[in-house]
Amino acid sequence: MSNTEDKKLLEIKDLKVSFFTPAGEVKAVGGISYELGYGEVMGIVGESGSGKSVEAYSIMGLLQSPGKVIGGSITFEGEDVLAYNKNQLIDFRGNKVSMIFQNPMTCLNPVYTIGNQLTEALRAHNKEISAADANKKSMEMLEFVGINNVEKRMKQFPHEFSGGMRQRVMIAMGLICSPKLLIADEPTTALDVTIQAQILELMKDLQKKTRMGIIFITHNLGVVAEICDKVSVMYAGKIVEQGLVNDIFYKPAHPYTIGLLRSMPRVDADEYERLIPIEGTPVDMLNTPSGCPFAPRCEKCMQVCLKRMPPYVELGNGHRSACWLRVQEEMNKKEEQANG
Amino acid sequence: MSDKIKRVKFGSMQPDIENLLELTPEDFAKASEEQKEGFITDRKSTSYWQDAWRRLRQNKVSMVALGIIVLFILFAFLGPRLVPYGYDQFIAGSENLYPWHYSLEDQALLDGVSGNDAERLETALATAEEEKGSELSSKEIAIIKARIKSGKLDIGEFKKENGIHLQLFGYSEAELERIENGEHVFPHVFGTDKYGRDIMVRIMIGTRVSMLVGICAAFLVLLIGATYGSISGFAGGKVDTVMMRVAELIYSVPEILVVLLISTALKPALVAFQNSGGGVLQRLVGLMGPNLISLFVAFGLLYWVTMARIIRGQILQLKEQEFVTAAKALGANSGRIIKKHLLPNCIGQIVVTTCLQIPEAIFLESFLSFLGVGVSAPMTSLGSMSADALKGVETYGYRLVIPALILSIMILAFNLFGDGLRDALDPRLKK
Amino acid sequence: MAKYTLKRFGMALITLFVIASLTFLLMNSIPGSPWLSEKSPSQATINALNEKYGMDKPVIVQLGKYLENIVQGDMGVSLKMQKNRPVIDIITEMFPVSASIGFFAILWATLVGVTLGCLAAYNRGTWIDSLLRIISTIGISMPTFVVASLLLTTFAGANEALRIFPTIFNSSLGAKAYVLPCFALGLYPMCYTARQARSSMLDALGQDYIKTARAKGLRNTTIIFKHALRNALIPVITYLGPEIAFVFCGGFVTETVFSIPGLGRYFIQSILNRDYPLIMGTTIFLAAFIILMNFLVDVLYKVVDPRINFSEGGE
Repeated sequence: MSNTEDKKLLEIKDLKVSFFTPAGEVKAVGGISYELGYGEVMGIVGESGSGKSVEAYSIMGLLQSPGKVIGGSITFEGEDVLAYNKNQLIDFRGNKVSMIFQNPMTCLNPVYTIGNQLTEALRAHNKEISAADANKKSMEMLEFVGINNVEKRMKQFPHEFSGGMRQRVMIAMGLICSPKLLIADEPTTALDVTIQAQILELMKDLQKKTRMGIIFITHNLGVVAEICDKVSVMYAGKIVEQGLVNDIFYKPAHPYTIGLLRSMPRVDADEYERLIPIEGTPVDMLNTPSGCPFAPRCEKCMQVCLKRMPPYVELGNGHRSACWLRVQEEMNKKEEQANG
Repeated sequence: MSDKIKRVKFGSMQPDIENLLELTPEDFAKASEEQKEGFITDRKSTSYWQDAWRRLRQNKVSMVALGIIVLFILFAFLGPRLVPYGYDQFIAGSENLYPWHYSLEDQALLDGVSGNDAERLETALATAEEEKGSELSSKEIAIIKARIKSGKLDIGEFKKENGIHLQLFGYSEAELERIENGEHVFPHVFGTDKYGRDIMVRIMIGTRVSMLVGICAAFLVLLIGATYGSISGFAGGKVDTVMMRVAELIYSVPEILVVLLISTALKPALVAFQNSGGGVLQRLVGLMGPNLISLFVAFGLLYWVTMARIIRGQILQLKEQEFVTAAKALGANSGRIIKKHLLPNCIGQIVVTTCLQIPEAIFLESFLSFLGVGVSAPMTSLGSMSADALKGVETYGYRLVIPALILSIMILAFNLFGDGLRDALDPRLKK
Repeated sequence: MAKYTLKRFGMALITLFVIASLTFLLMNSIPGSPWLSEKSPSQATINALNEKYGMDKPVIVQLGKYLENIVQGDMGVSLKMQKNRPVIDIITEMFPVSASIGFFAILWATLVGVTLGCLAAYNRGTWIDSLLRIISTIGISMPTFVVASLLLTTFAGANEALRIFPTIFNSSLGAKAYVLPCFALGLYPMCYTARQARSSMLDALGQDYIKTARAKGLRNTTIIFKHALRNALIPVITYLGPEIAFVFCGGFVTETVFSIPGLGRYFIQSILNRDYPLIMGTTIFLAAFIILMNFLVDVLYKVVDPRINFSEGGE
């Protein structure tokens, strides 16, 4: 029997998700693949509309019509999540995998107390637990995420909490059933920078303590550098580059990644360095072109880029990039090897 | 280039790999800017209004509702010209006609079987003799006698036997005879009332009144509400708070009570005014009647709050947007900002709310007219016609049903169209 | 909570004061006096009226005296309808019937309306939804008198078989007598509530906290009945205020059509007969009742939605 270390926590293979709108089929996710081991933190980076949230929703089974998974597989601890029936899904969500969302201001029900909503999360998956025990555990959880005065806080309503504190509550709610995987969909985007830092610290801390896996979805590379072990860069519904965090940051192998890195303001930059944005606008997902979706915005765009989708090129250590430039390099290398 | 590129495990790009071997050096040449731009096929951009119109057109229910509204407008405003009867014209001999009639021959037959036993016996004997062609035997007479005695002749059966059926539209006997003589008589489509007034014309006038009242009241509300709301929203701060408190106060006043109150109070004054001279204003007052004027007064005083709130909400939202800050930075004054930047963006909401205000006004007017505190005779409205018909509802049910249905359909059409407008102008609200 | 309630109560009192004053001032603007029925009253009558209402004094004083009298429960006497009977007595005699019909109308309208609305929201896009939307749209397009009249025609008409419900009100007939009037009165509010409930339910179901609830692994029934419903009811409660006003004013019509001896019908008759003390008294009474109901609804609203507390500067 293989031990836990061999089994992957999460395996996504060639996942395809489309939205069948009245205007046409929007191919939100066009075939992405990645894996996550126990205790690993994967960052998913991309612009709005890149499909990063959509694929996270598919994992949780939270996709709503007109969205549908039209291909690929999602395997959690060896089980096919897409084949779950309703009851299995209910058991799965909040219990084995938890998700926290972007906007803490609206994610909590305004008419119920925090205590109510926390204990509800616990008792949904632990039917036998007593009210008193559930209360106790909820308070422990609130302390765990760094909230003071927990007794008082349990009886308060969401509007009495600040944004950062609400996000902490969301995290507490997400962790209360000790899930093996936490999906965080842009959890810090709606918060102030200082609060952002606090929440990130909290999450790093929690991750070390609980050894759970995290999928961290963001458009902010700075955040990725803080917390992630691996990174997948998404563009127009496809993963254009994937690898360990250091590889992505120090050896970026895709023009989009390079562009993202270049457009980040850096504290340690030289005095008058220009911010170099990426030209152009994101792709219209209703009319996805046949070549590389990034082509019109790429300064190194070649003829083939406009015609065909580039394949992945392995660069070692799990680092891969889908770019014709890399293909070109590979082909040149092989040629040299053949000739030299 | 005959070497293979390493196959990758996660094959989302599978189809391309097979063709890799066909790559040529030209493929790796740099692409020009034009080529990159041509790559992107932009969706045709549409303006907000085009988009809204497209959505509205696709909404079948709203289009049908619009059609009905247009029909009603034609009915109310063009109709009376087509019908040769006046709404106040007493037509002697045509009183109490139903919207259906029997042809002259059928009527004669029916007359033959109606009446008391003695009469019927006589008629039955006469008819039987005619049919037989000769004198009746005493046995036959006895049979007929017994049949008459045994009970009323089943009118329904009789009608079926003789192929008597109702014909559309109401005609008096005199009118039917005129038709027989070749004259063309316009039918009383909905019958006539007890004075012989053609009901259809009255309904047309009534519809006209209801619609005009609705539209004018809605515009009044629009004017007052939009002004109040935009000033309040734009001013913000203390002014806004005070204005909204006042609006809240007005909103909590039971409107119908105030309408009734105002009409009661204004009546003597308006009657005095009306009688004070023959000028245009006096005639207008006389035409509309004190109740209608009170209705407008009440509308102007009370009903604008919802519109004001909606506009204020919109303005508050828009105020924070950057194009307003930009306008201010360029030196535009408040009035200009409201007029040129804020209100045009509210037009969607304004149109929808106004459109939905019309059925509300019609509703109120008909309610008041029904109670007898609406339009005054001789002017008629659908509400007052229904009220009048209430007394004789058992015999003349159509006099109630027809105006009531027309009123409801009209209100329904406006509501449906208003709903459709709302869906079209703000897709986010689409349910 | 207390602060909010006090504020709301204060508003209610101000509104009532405004209405009472408005009523008085309007009635007083009519040439002649509202208290005089004959053209040439006796001196004794005039003196008595002066004493009571200060008719020889400035309007403001008159208003003050009138309000003073009202607070003591004295609304004058009816001049035309029931000569010399105290208005307050007439009102207390006729109001219970109107109130009971109004109450049942609101009850069924709200319960059925909310249920249908939620049903439609849950089954959005299906035939159930379309059917309910059609019915509710038709319902709000039919003025109360139309519904009442049509019911009257159907149940009092030629067809003997349909005479199930009495069309002339007789309280001794028990519940049966209430069916037609309550139905006619409640139809519009029911449809309006259904539309409101549907839209607020759909709104609630689209909120982020529902997403959270689903992500927590809660059952569908919990999500709908616990999380969505309570939020959806808030706008429905907001409508209760205007609904109550509507029902009591719509009562004028149903009482007329079904010959119900209630305050509404009497009120309309007093207007047509120009019985000013009765008009004034009834207006103020009805207004006070409606304002009171609105106040109670405001309090209820705050109980359901804890945010209101906060925005009124509570904590």
